[in-house]
Order: sequence, then C-alpha cells, then structure tokens
Amino acid sequence: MSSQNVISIESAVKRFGDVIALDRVSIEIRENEFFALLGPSGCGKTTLLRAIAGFGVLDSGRILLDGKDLGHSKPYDRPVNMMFQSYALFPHMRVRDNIAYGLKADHLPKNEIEARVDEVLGIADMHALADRRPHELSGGQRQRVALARAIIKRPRVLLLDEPLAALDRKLRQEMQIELKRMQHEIGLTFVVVTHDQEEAMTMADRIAVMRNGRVLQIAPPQELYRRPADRFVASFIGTMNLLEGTTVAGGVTIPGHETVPIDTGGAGLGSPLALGIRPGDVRLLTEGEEIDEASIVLAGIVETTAFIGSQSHTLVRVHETAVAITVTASASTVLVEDGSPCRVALPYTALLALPDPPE
Amino acid sequence: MTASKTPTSGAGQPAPEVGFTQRARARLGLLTVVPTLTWWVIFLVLPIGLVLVTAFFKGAPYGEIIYEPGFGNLVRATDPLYLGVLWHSVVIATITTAICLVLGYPAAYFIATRPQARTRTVLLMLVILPFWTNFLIRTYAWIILLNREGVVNGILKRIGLIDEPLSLLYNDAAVVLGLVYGYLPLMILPLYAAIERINPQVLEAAADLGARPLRVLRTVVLPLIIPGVVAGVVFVFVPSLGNIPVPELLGGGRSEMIGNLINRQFLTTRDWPFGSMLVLLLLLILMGLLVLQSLVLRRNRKVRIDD
Ligand SMILES: Nc1ncnc2c1ncn2[C@@H]1O[C@H](COP(=O)(O)OP(=O)(O)O)[C@@H](O)[C@H]1O
Ligand SMILES: [Mg+2]
Repeated sequence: MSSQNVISIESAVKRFGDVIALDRVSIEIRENEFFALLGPSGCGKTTLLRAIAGFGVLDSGRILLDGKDLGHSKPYDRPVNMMFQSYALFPHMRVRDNIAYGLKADHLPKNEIEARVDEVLGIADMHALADRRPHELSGGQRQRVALARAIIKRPRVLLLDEPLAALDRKLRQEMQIELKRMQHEIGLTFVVVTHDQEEAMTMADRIAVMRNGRVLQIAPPQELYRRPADRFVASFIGTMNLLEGTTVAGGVTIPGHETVPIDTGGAGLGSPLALGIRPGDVRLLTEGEEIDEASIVLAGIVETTAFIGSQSHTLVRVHETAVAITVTASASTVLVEDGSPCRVALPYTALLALPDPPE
Repeated sequence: MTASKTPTSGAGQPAPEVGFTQRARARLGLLTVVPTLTWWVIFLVLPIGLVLVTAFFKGAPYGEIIYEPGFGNLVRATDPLYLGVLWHSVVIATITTAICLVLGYPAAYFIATRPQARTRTVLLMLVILPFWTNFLIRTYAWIILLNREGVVNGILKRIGLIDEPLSLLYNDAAVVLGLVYGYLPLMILPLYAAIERINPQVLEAAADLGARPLRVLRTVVLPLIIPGVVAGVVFVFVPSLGNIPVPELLGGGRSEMIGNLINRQFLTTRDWPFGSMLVLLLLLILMGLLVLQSLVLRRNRKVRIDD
C-alpha cells in the first residue's frame, strides 16, 4: 500500500508509578484506515488512545500527525476527536447541542453549524431525537450521539475507546457493520480500541495486538489468524491448539515424536517453543485410517463433542501429555462417541512455530 | 370488612394478624414522629407565631407590651434609619457571598479534581477544621490580628511598609473579612459536592472538541454545578445577613447590621414588638430568597448528571 501515514507513534513510553502502561510502542496508522488496538483489559490501549488525543504526556517517544510532532500540544489544539468509553455526553444539553459543541467551540457561522448538525443527524439517523437530552436516550442512542459529536469536525483521526462495549450483543453486532459502513462512507481514519477479538476481526483493516503495554504484532486480520507472531497472539485470536516442544537442529521436537521440520524463526537451539494448530486443520482419524500427509499422530480419547450450527467441535484428550486438542469439522463427518478412543493427525504444513511473547 | 393483604407479609400468615401488624406499624410510625413534631412546634412554630403576633402590638418605655393591635411598628420600620441598616446588611451579605463564591470555586475545583481519594479527604478536613473551634473565639482572633498593636500592623511596620499603624478594624471591610472567613467552608462544601459529581470524561470531551478551559468552565462546568452554587449562596448569605457577633466585634458599632439592631431591641431598648417587626422583615427577605432558590432549581431540574 502506498497510502500515507496519518499517525506515527514512535517508541512511546508511559509509566504510572510502577506500572508500565506503554512500553516502547511504535505504530503507523494510514490514511482512511480502520485500525484496531486489541488486547486484554489493562494492556494500555486507552492510555495510547488518550496520548494521541493529548491527554496524558508521554514519558518518552513521539507521536506525529501528518509528519509533524504533536509534542505537548493541548487536546483542544489537535485535529483529532475521541469517542469516550463512557460516551461522556453533556448531560445538560440536547442532542443537537451536544453534536454542535465542537463547531461552536471553533466559532463557525451559525447557519453553517446548523447545516452540518442536520447532515450529521441524518448520517446517525437521529433527527427524531434531536431535542432530547442524554438521560432520555437508550444506550444505543447515546452511542450514536457520541459518535455524531466526534465525527462532525471531520477530524484527521477519529479515536474510539471501546465504542460498542456498553451495548448488548445483538446491537453490538449490528453496530460493528454500521461503524464500518460509516467509516467507508465519510472517509475518515478510525482508530478503535477493543478487547473483543471478534469485533476487531470484523471491523478492522489492520490490528495491533497489545499485551502488558507492548505491541506484539501488527497485521491485517487474516494474517494475524494465519501467522500469529507468538503463542499469546495465537491464543488471543481465535482458538489455537498448543503442543509444548523444544527447538533442535532442523525443527522442533515434541516428546515421543520425530523432529518436525519447521522454521523456528531464529529461536536458540534447545529453547522451548510451542507448536500450534488451528482446530479446523486437525484431522480426526477413524479406526484404522491412515493419513498420507506428513503429520504428528496422537492417540487419545474423545471427551465431548459440541455441535454449533453446521460445525462440530470435538475435544480430544491426548494420552501421553493429557493435552486437550480441539478439532473442528463439518458436523456430518464426525461420528465418534464420547469416551471412545481415537487418533488425531496434525499435518506438518498446518503447524505454526510459536515462541513465548516478550515479557 | 376484612384486613387487606399486604405484599410484604409472608405467605401462609393469617389475615387478621396482617391487619393488626399493619395498624400497629402505623401507630408506631405516628409515635416516632412525636418527638420531631414536639421539637418543631416548640422551637419553630411557637416562636414564629409569637413574633408574628407581637410585631403588631405596641412597645412601652419600660419593656411592657401594650396589647393594642396596629401597624405602628411597620411604619416605624420603614424609617430611612432602619431601612438603611437593612440595606446595609443586604449589601454586606451580598459582597460576602460574592467573595466566597470567587474564592470557594477554585478551592472546591482544586479539591474535587485531586486524583487520590486520600488527598481529597485531607483537604476537605482542612476546610472543615475551623468549625471545631467556637465561632466567637475565631472572631476574637481577628481582633488580635488586626488591631492597631496587632500582628498584621506589627509585621507591616517591621518590614517598613508603614510608619503609622493602619486602622484595619471597625469598618465594613473588617466585617466582610470576618464573614468571609467564617462562612467560606459553607460555600466550598456544596460546590465541591457538585463538582465531584461531574464525570471527568465530560470535561475532557469538551476539551477534545476544541473548547479551551474558560469555555469548558462556562459551557459545561457552571451549568452542571448550579444546584451547588445555589446551595452555597444560600448557606453563606443567610447567616451573613442576620449575623450578630461579626459586626459587633469587628465592626465595632460602626458597621451595624440588622442582627445587631434586632438584638438591641430585645436586650437593650427592650422594645419587643418593634424587634419582632424587624425579625419579621428579615424572615420575609430570607423567604423571598428561598423562593428564588426553588425557582432556579426547578428550571435546572431537567439537568441530570450522567453516570
Ligand atoms: N491515571 C492512571 N493512574 C494510574 N494507573 C493508570 C492510570 N491509567 C491507567 N493506568 C494503568 O495503566 C495500565 C493500562 O491502562 P489502560 O490504558 O486503561 O488499559 P486498557 O485500556 O487496555 O484496559 C493499567 O495497568 C492501568 O491500571
Ligand atoms: Mg480501556
């Protein structure tokens, strides 16, 4: 992609006492991109978003907007707007005045303010509610007002902190699509914070996975799923079966099996390295069935099988290591009863070498 | 006629017992009101009733009351001399309240925005601390500080700013100073409570949308703390308006307020009916203030703080 970077975060560090909320974070965000910051609660997502908006000074590192260092400039001087996790609507103002607030602060002419508020009310489908106050709105409606208020100034970057977390599941899924559509329609750069990997995978063009203040990997959703950088990312994005192994010359060994030839990505000989495989890539072998592909074959017993829609998820407890392996297949092909012995095949080509994430 | 079932009674309880419990509870409820009611009648209704009645009788030279109803006291109270004292009191109380507001707001804002709960508690304790000492003693302390041989004059002389001691006591400024000092906490506390209720993210949202601090103050903070401002204004204005010790001690008779005048009618001049009339006028002013307060609050009621 040749698009230009709107935001460049260079080695940002932020401490709160002993807690390192941001640990040398570097991220580039491109024009018109839908970028997600994904990670468990407390990993520093909000801290990073606030630093971009101008709340909370970094201990070191820089944030550039369109190539210019934002330095210590104040939130009200940054062409960046934020949608807060609590929505933070002005409780004493009508919806209309909440939305108009940013334009009034810029002293725009009255008729222009009115026209743009009307336009945004249309985009957010809020015309009927324009004269209500926040306490007269449902959670979903408040969310829309907060969004409308944040986009009306057409910021260079729109920052959204867990924008959908307060909504119930069904509304959340609708809004994921809606947000994506809106971003496309109005052509803004979105940076969304979320702890929900499904949400990030649904909406984002690229995702930065964070843990303990560090960025572990930045990649498009498909690549995060297919080539996770380490075992944390692998388990955080979807389900991943893990086998503990050790690096040897030419690959990885797991107890009781020949060496699996796999690129260990520069991990030192003899260091621990996990082998990962997605549930959909594991084959459940029927009695006497052999597999042509080079695979790790493990014997175990079937613990449970759950049918979800057209898929079955079978949990197999492996004899030697007592590791549980999840196998996903189309429901019709799995006929093994709970408690019966079975074998699973893990094709070499589907295995991933997963180091530990940096501490 | 059967006892009605109450939703609070447990299942399987016989109906008559429910009715009994209910009646007993009602009687008990009445009983608990009696002390409050007695207190209220003895210390509020009776005195005000007495004042109301006495105000329309006539006082005689040696403190007797002549029980002939009339409006003589009211006419006398409109004498420019007395109206002047009343006006002077309103002016002093208004200035005091305004200064308390100006000083109290930044203090309350500072305390409310400390991130650590412990810091806030300690600062609030410091605000309340003076209340642990008698008001009179604290007012006397100002005399020690401000008199011609007092601490302030001493320091000013020592550092060579003045040669002759300044007359810092016995003027309106000294009275306002004493009142502000005495009642500032009553302004800070309700303001603090109102500011603390504001979601800090709402203020950040305003800044994020381009509002500079003064604009945030005017368009977001002030509208949201109006109930606190009104409470603080009433808490400071009311005791300032009818104050007796501060103008007495720091005003030294040169800045007499309505409280002193009333005090004199009862204790020195012993003209109880005229004193009562002055009390009545003071009460009317305060009631007007309360009506104003409820009007402001009603207009403001639509505003609720988002959680
Ligand atoms: N104002 C603050 N004071 C002290 N610690 C903070 C503050 N803000 C955040 N932290 C800490 O920094 C870490 C990252 O917080 P945050 O960025 O809010 O995480 P996230 O948004 O990913 O859940 C957490 O350990 C949190 O406790
Ligand atoms: Mg957060």
